Amino acid sequence: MWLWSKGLGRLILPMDIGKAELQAEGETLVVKGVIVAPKVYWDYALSLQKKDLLDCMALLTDQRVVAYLVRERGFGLLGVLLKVAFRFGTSYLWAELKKLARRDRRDEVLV
Amino acid sequence: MRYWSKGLGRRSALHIEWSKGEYEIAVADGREVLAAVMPPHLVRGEPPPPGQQVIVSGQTLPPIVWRYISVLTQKDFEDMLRLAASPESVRFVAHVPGGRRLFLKVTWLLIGFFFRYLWTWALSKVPGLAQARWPGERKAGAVTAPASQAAPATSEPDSVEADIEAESSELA
Repeated sequence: MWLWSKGLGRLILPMDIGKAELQAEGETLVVKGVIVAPKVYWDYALSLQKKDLLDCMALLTDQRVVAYLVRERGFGLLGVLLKVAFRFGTSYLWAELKKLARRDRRDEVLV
Repeated sequence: MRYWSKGLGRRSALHIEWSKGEYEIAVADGREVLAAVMPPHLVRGEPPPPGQQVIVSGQTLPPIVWRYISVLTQKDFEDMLRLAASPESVRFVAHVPGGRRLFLKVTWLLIGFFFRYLWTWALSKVPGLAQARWPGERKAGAVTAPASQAAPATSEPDSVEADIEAESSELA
């Protein structure tokens, strides 16, 4: 991903989101990474709230983006998508089950 | 979302909004788009690869209102998907207040993306629908056949295109 903004000086900054790290900080999900370019080694952070997460997903479903991805990746991306969706769904259910188990244990202790 | 980088110096973070209506989206050559705002020799690091990319542009929200342009390749979208399914992201969704609703919404968007992708891919495989394949680009005039190769004017292609257009807008 490349970002240019009027305020970033005379620079266009390359950001490799694939190498970024995620960190949950309260109600914010922070994507942290490093912009590496000649004479540039800058940390960057993208703070996402719930709404931003949904906006990013909505951007992905834009017809122009979908058409672009189909042309660039063809059928292959569907495999990636299925893998991602499966991992996301099962991990979430696992986290929910763990939450329930913890709550049950707490209730038992209270009783 | 809030963007901060060391390069912003003492300024606070930039507030970039990607909700509908707050940005413009296009599929174009990222190098050309960036060259329009910045001479290529000033680009530090690897410039975008040649060819088309997704360009998302707009203005940051107050207090610092600046125009921005971001160039996204298919790898970035794949990385976004992978990050969304990472353990840290799932932990965030599971523990944030209103997390269940967020999970359902993300799942709904993923399902929508899956079917839209499948549909667009299937359309691209149907012979004779090349003009109707990429509605977004067609509107932008990116896919245009040379006059010498243009199909003779008949009412049939229009009706097929109209059908595809209607189905695409239904999906939208």
